[in-house]
Amino acid sequence: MKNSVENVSRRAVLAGAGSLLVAGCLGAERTPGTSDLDWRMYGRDPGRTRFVPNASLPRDGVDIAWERSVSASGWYPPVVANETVYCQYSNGLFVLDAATGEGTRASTYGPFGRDILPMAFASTELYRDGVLVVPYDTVIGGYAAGRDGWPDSVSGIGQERARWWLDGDSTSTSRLPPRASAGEWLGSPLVVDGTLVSLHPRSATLSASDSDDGSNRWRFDLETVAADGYVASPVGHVVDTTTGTAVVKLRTRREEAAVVVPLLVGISSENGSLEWQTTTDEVSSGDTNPGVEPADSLTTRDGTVYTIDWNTSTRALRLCELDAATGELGWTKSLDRTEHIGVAVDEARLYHVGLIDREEVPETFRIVALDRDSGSRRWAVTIDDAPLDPRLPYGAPPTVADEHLLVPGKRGLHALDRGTGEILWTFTEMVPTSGGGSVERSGMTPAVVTDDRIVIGTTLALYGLE
Amino acid sequence: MSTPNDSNDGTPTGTEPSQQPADDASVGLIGLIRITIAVLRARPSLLVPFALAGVVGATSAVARIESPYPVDMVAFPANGVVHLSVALVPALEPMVEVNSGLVLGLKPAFLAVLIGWQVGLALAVTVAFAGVVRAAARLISKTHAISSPSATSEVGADESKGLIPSLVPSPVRLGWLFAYVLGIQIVLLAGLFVVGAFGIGPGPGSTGLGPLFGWLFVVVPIASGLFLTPAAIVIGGKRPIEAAIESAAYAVRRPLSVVALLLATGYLGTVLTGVFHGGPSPRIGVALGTFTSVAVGGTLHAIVVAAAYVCWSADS
Repeated sequence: MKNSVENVSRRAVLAGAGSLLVAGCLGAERTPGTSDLDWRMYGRDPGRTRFVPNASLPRDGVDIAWERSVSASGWYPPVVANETVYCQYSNGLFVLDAATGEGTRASTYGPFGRDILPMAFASTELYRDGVLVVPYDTVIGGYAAGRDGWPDSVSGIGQERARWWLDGDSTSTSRLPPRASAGEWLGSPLVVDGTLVSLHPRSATLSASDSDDGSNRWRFDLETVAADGYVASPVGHVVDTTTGTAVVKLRTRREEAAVVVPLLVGISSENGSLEWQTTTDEVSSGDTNPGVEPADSLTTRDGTVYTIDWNTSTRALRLCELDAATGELGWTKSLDRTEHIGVAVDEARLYHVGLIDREEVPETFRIVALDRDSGSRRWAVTIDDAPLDPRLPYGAPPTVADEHLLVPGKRGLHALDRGTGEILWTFTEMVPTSGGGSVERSGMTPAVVTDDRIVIGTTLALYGLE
Repeated sequence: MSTPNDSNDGTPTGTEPSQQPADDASVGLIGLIRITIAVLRARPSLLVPFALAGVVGATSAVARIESPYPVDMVAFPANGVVHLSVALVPALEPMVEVNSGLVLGLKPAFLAVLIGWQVGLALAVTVAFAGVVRAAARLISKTHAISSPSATSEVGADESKGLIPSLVPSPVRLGWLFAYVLGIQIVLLAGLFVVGAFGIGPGPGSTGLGPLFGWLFVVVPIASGLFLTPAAIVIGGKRPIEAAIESAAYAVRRPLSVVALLLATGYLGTVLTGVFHGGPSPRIGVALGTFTSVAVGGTLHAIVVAAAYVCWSADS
């Protein structure tokens, strides 16, 4: 592994020298510049905190600023960069002004934007428009992102707008690497200062790549941390920018015994060297809840990592705090939940959204706010609603913005006071059905907040709320 | 129409092809290959210009890898052993593959660097190509190393006819060739931009036959028509448009030979990139593959173009 790191470092130095010669001499800055209004990746930031500190949202309900209707939903989580919303759905890609909703809908006829993980957006030195990062299973494509440059339709996999492809082993600009096994939702690429940090399930690697040309900066082979006889499957990753640590959640499996060992690994986001690794008890693979690990069960902020798993003895949901620099375990908190949906974190609190079973309503939101320092409960509420499909990876992760905790559900979008848990408002719109009636539009994406706008994909409509 | 004395820089020129069909005694494909080999054996120093250009190309290719520009380096047989390619002039970076996304959204400074880079390469290939074409044409015209009876009899060493070009091409011809090479580069870059900006690509349900037919019935005919243009500029003293018209006339008269030469030179340049494929270092492989392809493939390309132009213009 060390040799690999050294070799990559040498290449990184050479590549860096080349970049300096071209980009440095031209005094290039990465564009478009980052802003507090951005939501550039799944979870908003490299720690996937879903926290928007500088938003401005109403406490007494929202109005519709703009609406774009579609004939089929299939939304993927929106990203926002340079005041532009990029949102993929079943039959196309919306590229819209975040304030007005005006812009292009590029219809898609091929695999472009289909069967993907959440998109990301990265600034670039060479290009003024940045790059739209689209993860197709194990292959990640980087596309020209300019708001005004999108055609009315994108054929095939959008080769005409592609700048590079990478799969963890290699980078290509003209040849699409073969697509293989499915990637994990939480493996959606992260953008850290112009570097893409991405998970590659097929090769079981974590890699850092340049956003201009997709060239590799470093690569870490995750198989090296698995015990002998075990196979590593990456579940998700986050990057703690305070400590410069990329934290990867793994499921290592011993094939003959059908035994799974969850594993957390800390890797330097600077050079890809191993910093620490932790293991937990072995569990039977038949006992692991498939809804927990692939979804939003990892977040980090200010040098602290929060992960969610199942307590192997009590079968309860367990939140764990770890030091991002060392992997040292802090507090743990058990929650009696039937499903884990999502987690968000702000300056002082950790918010967990899960489901509980009640006699009359088997799946109901149960939301709890925990103190980040101690893990003690600040408040908890139950909402008579649930995600449209909690077992999908994009069930309904929460968003923390302004004074609000936003939780999408079957009935639309719920806003809670993040200090008290008080329900402030619920945004509900109706959509006609073929039978002549109407149903509520369900929230189908995380609520993406930019300035005073909430962008959310719902049943047959994309909304900009204000 | 031009005559041997109407060249715009006062040096001898070739002649327009006549409209009559090629006779049986004209130099064909095999004859041109034999002439090319004979010329190279008689004057191995003809490899020097493209060897120097190969050094430039290899350096440029490695610099591309290290640069932030997104490009691919593809060595034979990565695209298959039946990879067909066409080259209007020898490529100095035969392993480089680019996508239309390369040029979309480039900042002006980086676009300028990219264009300047291409201009530098165009200049290098122009000098090497003109030098070899000129020297090969002079050798073919002066010596009896040509084994083709018709070629030796028609093109033979008759300096009194004014058909033997001087060794060094005039700056004017060099300039026109440079303009031609640069024009091709600009058209290719513009084509990349148009493809990306307008999303031109295979439509829904495409079987891939469209690009294939486009390549067969658009790219190959156009490239065939332009194949002898550099020689018409350097040897014939024509300006690019006149040279292209003259080249097209030769392609019309000898379509199979021109297409075969076009594909053979393109394929040769591609095949030679794979000589060091799979070596210990990708960068060394790129450098050596590029150098070999340019030095050998470029030289042969230039000689065969010169031979075809001299022989066919003498036939006319």
